[in-house]
Amino acid sequence: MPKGRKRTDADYDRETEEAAKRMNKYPEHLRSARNSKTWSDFLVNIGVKEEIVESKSGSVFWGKVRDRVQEREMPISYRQAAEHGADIETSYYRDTKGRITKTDTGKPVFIYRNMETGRFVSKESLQKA
Amino acid sequence: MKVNLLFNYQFRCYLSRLEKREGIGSKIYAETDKHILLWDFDDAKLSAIILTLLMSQKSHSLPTIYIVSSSPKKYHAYCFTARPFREVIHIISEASQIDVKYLRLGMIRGYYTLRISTRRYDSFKLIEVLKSSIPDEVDPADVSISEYMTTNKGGKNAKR
Repeated sequence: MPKGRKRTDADYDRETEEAAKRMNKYPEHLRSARNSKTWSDFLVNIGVKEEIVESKSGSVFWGKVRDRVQEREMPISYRQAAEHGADIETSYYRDTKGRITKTDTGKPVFIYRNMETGRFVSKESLQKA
Repeated sequence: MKVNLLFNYQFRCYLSRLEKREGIGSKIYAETDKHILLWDFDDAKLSAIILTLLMSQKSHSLPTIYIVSSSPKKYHAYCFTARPFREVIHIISEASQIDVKYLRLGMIRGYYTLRISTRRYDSFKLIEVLKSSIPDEVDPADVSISEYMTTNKGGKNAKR
């Protein structure tokens, strides 16, 4: 921004968008440990896997929590929407009442959060899936 | 090979054998700004580590913490929680026995990594489990993993 120029709403929007892009950027060399034999062997060999099963915590418990959470409607903030992808950011905005509304119709739309991936999806897209 | 040339110039040439290692990353895969907790302790007393981690576990409401011995006097600790990176830095830096280089490098990179592949003379061993009434917040399979090449053979441990 040139020196002396006053900051405008467009500047804030651009910076928010850039920050959201930076946050979404995932280090390329990191990959999911789900199919890693080294990691699963490591957990089994040192006995952590056994401890997790013994304490009945971990995936089983949180799997049930996720199932319940996914059933209820979850409105999201503009910031959350911006952090979770440009597709939502361009389709939705927050109106003065703090609700998520669709840009073209102005009709309130509730957003669901996918707890597995951390992404937010609309009710319509869930019904179509 | 190091050759000092004229003025401010120097010519250096290295040849070293690289080893492939695997490490677990603190970043939860496909999640934005969610991390598990990984601690790396060097030359620290186990009793002091346990005390520090118990205090962190209580003050930050953490799930079970697993303390693993990676080589003599060196310990790793894992906690399968899901916290933003700022909070992760806050929790990890509370431990006075933490390896400062590890803390600093993770801060710069934006995530922490711990080696999980064994070295020639070392093997991992579960030392202590600090149980908690709070269940794990992450399935261990949901974390991220990375492969890297290194010349580090474990310092003093390699000479044994």
